Amino acid sequence: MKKATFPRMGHYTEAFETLTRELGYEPITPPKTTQETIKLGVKHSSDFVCFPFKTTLGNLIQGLDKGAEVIIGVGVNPSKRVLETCRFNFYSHIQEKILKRLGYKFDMIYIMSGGTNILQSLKRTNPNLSYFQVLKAIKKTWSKIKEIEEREYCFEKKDINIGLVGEIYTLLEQSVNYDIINKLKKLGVGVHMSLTLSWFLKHQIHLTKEDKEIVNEVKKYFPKRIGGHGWESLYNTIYYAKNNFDGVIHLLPMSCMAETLVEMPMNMIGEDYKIPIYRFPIDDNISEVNLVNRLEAFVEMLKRRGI
Amino acid sequence: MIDVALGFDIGNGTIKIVVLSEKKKVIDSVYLKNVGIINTLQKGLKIIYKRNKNINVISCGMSGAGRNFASKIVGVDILKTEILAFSIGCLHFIPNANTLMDMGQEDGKMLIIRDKVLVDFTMNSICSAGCGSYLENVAVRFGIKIEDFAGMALKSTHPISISGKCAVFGTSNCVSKLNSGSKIEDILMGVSESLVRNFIYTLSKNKELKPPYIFGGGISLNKSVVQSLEKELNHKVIILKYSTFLTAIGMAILSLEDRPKKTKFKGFLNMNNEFTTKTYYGTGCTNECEITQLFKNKELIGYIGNRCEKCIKKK
Repeated sequence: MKKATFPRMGHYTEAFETLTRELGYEPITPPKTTQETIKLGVKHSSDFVCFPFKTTLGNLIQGLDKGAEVIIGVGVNPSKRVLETCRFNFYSHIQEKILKRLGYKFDMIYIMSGGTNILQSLKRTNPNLSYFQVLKAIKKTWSKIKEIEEREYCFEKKDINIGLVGEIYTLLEQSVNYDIINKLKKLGVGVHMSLTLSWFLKHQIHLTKEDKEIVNEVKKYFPKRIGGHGWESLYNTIYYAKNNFDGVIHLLPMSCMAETLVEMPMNMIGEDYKIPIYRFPIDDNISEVNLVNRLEAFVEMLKRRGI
Repeated sequence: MIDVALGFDIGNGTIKIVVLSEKKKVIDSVYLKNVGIINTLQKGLKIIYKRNKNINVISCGMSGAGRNFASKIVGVDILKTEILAFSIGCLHFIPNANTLMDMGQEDGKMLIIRDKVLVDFTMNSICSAGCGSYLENVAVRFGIKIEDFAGMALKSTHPISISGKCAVFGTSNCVSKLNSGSKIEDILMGVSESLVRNFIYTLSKNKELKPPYIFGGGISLNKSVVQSLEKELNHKVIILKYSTFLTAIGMAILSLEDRPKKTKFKGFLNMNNEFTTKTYYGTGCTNECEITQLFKNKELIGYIGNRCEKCIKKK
């Protein structure tokens, strides 16, 4: 059985572990993302590439150091014509090149590359794999994802409710966003997570439902769907405003193409729909104390507005 | 004996303490450079105690970046962020203010007030070029005292355009202007203007700035910055008498509004004790928290920096 590693993604790391095991590998889970991981990633990436690239690269290095021979990379095959996606498309490809130059020996599998492509690359490293096994793996992973979401992202309505929008990785990786959900919960706030992994997967195969009215309203502010999830950030901001949320927090990696672009239309939405928005661009030099301070101030403001 | 409330603002650059009467009048105030929280607090409270023997502290509030640590030494009833405290302090003096600006040493904030309620705020997120440390950097580089900065800058007749997006590049921009023969006063005025531009442009995005404007914080004492700000806003800016104490005053007011039965303030004489700290890294998990313990006369009285209770040493 070959040893395989993969990038971490917050609580969902467990689900990745399940998937890897079910596909017939021995999972090598990289250690929790810490300052050490970030340092490794920053060292080998360009300064202005988005933060998720750096942290996931750090994860992979730590995974390979633990003895992994296969990397299950998340990314899309660039030869396939994909719209609506950003640099994320090319993460795995560049990371593969960087890691090979660093002298690591491994096989890279691109999952989510679509169709037969994925099975071929899986077969290359694991020849005994059957279709049945893949289906079983998908089923098991899906139920694991559902289980994690019920545990971690269940929304409880409180006096003050905040919706989280933004780039999906910074939203879901708690060691990158300084565990913002629990920090808000400690301040007595109900937190709703706009994007989850199950939503993301469904969205990939066009199974998500959208409110047509809101879609039309988003069109007044921005003409086209852009990804990562810039368009969704606008959609969800309007959604939260319409559902009487008290505020929206926008998380994004610094220099994120999609989210930076929708900053301005989103501010306009905030103004027009009278919903306060606070924005945290995240990079390796943000300080936790500052983040907590601003969160506290934002929540205090929302509480006082309500009086 | 007069009943009073104490308000603290533990800033990055300076520590401000005010004594407020029950009728919300400022009785005394102390403004000290922060050269280490423990020493500075000891010094400040001693000064107040010496000058006001007949006061009885009934409540005490604290704000500022260093509040969590300092509160463990002083003992306070209420801890809030500087944003809220600053707005309360400003509105106490000018109830109809619509835009509040605060420029400190390491951060700048802009607060939007409508109908006496804070409706929006921004703080600089990843850059300090809109703050006091930029001015200090330039002053140090030119070998002038920060107190003399404004006086020199105001002599300028043709301010030079200086880039203000980054404090480091801004300073080197100044140096190259100096090398190409520009006058010092013109450069200093250029720095004031670029500071203001950076402050306004980064913080006021999509916000409607309406007068009356109040400008507070340490930088409000710098006349050249005030002049640049008025030029940029094209409107008069109010500088209050206690412009550097607004956050501390706000905290004192908040503590009075939510007046405790018995204050947690540990008294002025408490400051005569010896306070020491010890820092270690937690080893319980991958978080590796940096935990600082605080000792009073070698007895553990508190700690900060921990995410959970696992790595807390009891000694």
